[in-house]
Amino acid sequence: MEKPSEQTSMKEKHSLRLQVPLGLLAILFAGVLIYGFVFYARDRIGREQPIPFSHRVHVNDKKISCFFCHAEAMSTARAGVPPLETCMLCHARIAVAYPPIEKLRKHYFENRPVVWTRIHILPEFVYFDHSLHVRRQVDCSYCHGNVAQMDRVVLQQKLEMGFCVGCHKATKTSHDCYICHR
Amino acid sequence: MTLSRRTFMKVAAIGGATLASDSGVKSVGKLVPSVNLPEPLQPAAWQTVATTCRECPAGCGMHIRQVNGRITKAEGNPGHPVNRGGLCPRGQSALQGIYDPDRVSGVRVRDESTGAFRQESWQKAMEEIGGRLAKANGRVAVLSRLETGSLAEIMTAFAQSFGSDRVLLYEAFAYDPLRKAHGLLLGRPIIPFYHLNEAAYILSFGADFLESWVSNVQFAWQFADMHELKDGRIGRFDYVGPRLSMTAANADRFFPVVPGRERDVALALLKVMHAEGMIRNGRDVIGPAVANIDVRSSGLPGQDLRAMAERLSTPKAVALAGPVGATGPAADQLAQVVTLLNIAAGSIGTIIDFSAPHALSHTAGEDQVASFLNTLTPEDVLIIHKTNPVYTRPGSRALIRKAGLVVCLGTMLDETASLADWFLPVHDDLESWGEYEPWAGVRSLMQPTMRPLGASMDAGDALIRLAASRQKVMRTGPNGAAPGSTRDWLEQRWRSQGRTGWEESLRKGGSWPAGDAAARQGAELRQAALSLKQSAGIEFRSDEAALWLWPSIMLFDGRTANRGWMQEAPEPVSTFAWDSWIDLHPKKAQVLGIEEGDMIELSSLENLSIQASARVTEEIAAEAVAISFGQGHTALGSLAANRGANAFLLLPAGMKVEGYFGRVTIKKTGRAEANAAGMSTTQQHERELLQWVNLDQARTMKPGPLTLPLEEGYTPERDLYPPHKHKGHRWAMTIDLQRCIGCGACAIACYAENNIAVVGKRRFREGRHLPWLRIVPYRRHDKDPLRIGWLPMLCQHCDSAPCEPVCPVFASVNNEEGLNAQIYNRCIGTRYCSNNCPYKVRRFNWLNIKWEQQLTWQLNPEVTVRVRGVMEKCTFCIQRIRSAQHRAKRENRKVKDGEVQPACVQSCPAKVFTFGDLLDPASKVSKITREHPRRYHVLEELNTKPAVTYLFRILQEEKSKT
Repeated sequence: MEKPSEQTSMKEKHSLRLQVPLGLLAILFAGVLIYGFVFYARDRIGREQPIPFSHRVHVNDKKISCFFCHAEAMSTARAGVPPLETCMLCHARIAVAYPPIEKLRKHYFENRPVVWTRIHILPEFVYFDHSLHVRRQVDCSYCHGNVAQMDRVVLQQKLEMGFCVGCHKATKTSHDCYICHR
Repeated sequence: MTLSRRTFMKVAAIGGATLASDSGVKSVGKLVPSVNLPEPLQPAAWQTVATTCRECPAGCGMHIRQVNGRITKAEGNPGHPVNRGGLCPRGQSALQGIYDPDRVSGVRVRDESTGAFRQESWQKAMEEIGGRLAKANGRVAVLSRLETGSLAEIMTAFAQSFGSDRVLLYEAFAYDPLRKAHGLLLGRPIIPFYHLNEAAYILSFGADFLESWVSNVQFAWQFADMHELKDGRIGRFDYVGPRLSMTAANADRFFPVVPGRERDVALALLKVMHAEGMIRNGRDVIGPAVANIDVRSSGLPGQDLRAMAERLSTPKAVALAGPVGATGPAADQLAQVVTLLNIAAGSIGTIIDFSAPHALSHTAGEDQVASFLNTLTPEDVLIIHKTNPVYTRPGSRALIRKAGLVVCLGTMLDETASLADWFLPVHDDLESWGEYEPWAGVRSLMQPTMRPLGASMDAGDALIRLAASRQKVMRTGPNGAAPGSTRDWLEQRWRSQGRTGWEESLRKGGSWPAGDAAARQGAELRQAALSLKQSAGIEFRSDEAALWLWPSIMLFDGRTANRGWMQEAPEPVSTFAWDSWIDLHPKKAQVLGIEEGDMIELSSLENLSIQASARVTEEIAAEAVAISFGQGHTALGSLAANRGANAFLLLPAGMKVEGYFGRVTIKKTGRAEANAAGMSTTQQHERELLQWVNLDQARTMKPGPLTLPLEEGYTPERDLYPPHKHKGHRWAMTIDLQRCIGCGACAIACYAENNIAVVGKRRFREGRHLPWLRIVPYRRHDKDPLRIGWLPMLCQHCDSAPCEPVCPVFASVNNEEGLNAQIYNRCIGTRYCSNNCPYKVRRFNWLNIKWEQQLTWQLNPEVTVRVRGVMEKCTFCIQRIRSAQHRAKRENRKVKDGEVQPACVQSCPAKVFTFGDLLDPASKVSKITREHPRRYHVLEELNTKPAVTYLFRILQEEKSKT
């Protein structure tokens, strides 16, 4: 009696030995898939923002100029994310009951800034000046993609050195190191 | 469950790979825009705010550069009459004061049970201190650093509202002897204005006016102006004193004398002038005063004395009396003799102007300080504001403890604050409203340059609220208003004095008379009973010497000791940093068997002693030892505490001693610690890096040959590589060595502008500090060891740069505007470039340096913070060049000459540097480089074609009489 049972238990033990790691692997694989999909989605659909601001609505539907909000792009190195008071120029009256706008107004009246997630990031050793590029008639979409058709902003062009230098070469602009690096 | 090692490794590897496979974007991606943007501000655009420097009583005008609400750089206000755009190292370090990691942010109260500090709220502080004040029955005393204007008024009104008139303005360096001498002889006990720029001859008796004496930045530009060769004429400066200080090293002749014997020299000079009939004024007072003086006992050769007397008797000669920080009979006598010399030379009312007294004239004299401290009793409530008497006057510790309640208003827990019952954190000077009047008529304003960092309160507001908590109303005058804050007080005072243009003044930095409008004022010589005595031959035992204490330009009276820049900045003459040292003459050292770096102990006659390592040098009088003030803190912060020795401990009580600081005995301790020197050598080794030219030659000099860093500098026979073609600009610099006083302001400006890390004492000593610009105090040569010139050495931006061809990855490249660019993200750290650089200006990052909070806020966002393994060096402030170019482009114009100012150029008090475009023939830098007779390149023979052109330093040799 004892022997066979011992055998089966041995078998069970063997199968268990295989099953546990395999199961673990399967869970991990699923995890990788989900995780990968999240990143895929993030890159394709765009990252979630604290307030679902849609460039498509503002640029395409309402025909608001880029420089209405990103006014500094004409005069300084940074394009600048507008202060909340700029939003309030319209949303003091428009769509005040829409929940995301309610949230925005709450931020404004509580004097609490909105912390946006950054999409276009330059490494800290690169110095880019918006005003000079805008003055040279470089269209915003050349680097930032067609935001007029984006609800969430998607990184369409990675801001890497090859991209910068390619354009500088094509337009016979200087590609001296000190143009961008310092 | 069993999991084999193999399976575990597999699982771990997959999991790790998943976690690591982020999309490659750094996690720094947050954008936080403001809710309401103040009207004139633009994000990421630079703003400049004008305020006043309060790092010492000089009161220079400052421009604070600010971006995104953070201040990153302090510069001199070019329109300010005191400093005219320059700013000394201390003033620039104000930023490290506001961002000091050890700054206290909350109210502290002494816990009665434990005796340690604990946190408390402002409200509770107001209640409790207010309660004590109400019960004090007029026993209220206020002790503050020097303040003028509104805050001084607030403090007086505060004391008055509690029925007291005890307000003492205390400065460690109060120039008491000078004020007393002016009072005694001229009836004006003040520190007058000095027009040193107009002087033809300056004779200083231990007055280090380029470092610490009264108003060092002002005297720096004034001195540079008078000491410049203009139309064949040049001013002359002699220095009589015990130590070759930075100021003394700028003299055309340095006469080393034992401390206390400057007086003998001055008296002998007076005697010679009297005997030779060279006296312009005051003959009837000076005659009897010098009747018994023996000229020979001065210790100086007769011909030198005569030469000095002759120079003093020429028009526009002036004598200055030191030492800084001494009081007592010897210092009094020196000040009297020097005042007589000025009267005899006729400089009162011309160079020395009594129409505009310095604010220091309002500080308490020695007697007032002593009586203030001695009358403190347990009934007293003592309010101390931003001053540290426990450190600068060690005897005051016990006296301050006697007060019943000590309330300290400050930013740091210094020695005095550590004694207090309450510590109230007040705004840093850069966060405060205020005003300061350095010279009468120059009313300089202070305004907040950024929002306060912590839970601090304005000092004046704290006093107003303390009074208000007891229903006391403080008024600006007998029938004046009762402003609720310092800011209102300031504005109302400004307007009530009939001054218009409050906004305009805020923008400008204050109000002052335009030009040199005010009429000069002299003072009448009074008949005074003088008993001027010679020091009658001081004798020293072999282990004794006269003590000489001096404030350095970096640490002054010790208030800046917790700032990395100030600790790491090499002292201009010795190049030492991060510690105290004792200067000792080789003769004395030999007798006592002391070697360089030995720890020695100095004991005063009162048996107080300090220890520091020895610097054996001929740059001090044989019978003297010298140590600087500023180190040896027991509190203040982590950088300052327990570092070096506190020289104030040796200050004799009552100062009734011979010399200025008494005599000390020197003892070897047996221990040794190598001094931390910033330069590996200060000898030229016959390489003629810093060149001198005799005055006679300088007058008739023609420009020497120079290979310019341009296409025209290319010669096929000498050059290996083809010439560079420059696009638009070729940036270049000239450095006038004759104007350079060695203060090191430019180097600190470079630290601030370019995010240069502070490395600490050990790595400093190993030579691993990172200055892009070093000021080397080169000794002229062996035969003239006491003559020093400073060579500001920065990247020369060579046209044939030896660093470039050796870089395997092209991280070191020649830029199209002629700059030698170092590209950090390309650099792999081979250090070949540094090995091949003949100027040794490249610095390697051996470590990642941790920037303490809040010091990170000081970082310039336009300059990369370098990491370990990267070579770095001067960029000619490329960020400033670019910002000027971009500005010009936006405005559709060309960059103007002088528009680009690298940080060193901007900050220089003596205006040594000229920066500009060499391709523009009309630019100042082109003219100097191409035409100046004293131009030269360092190591021209290497044909590196540097873009930095130096101008010879001028040697004013004694004319041998034939």
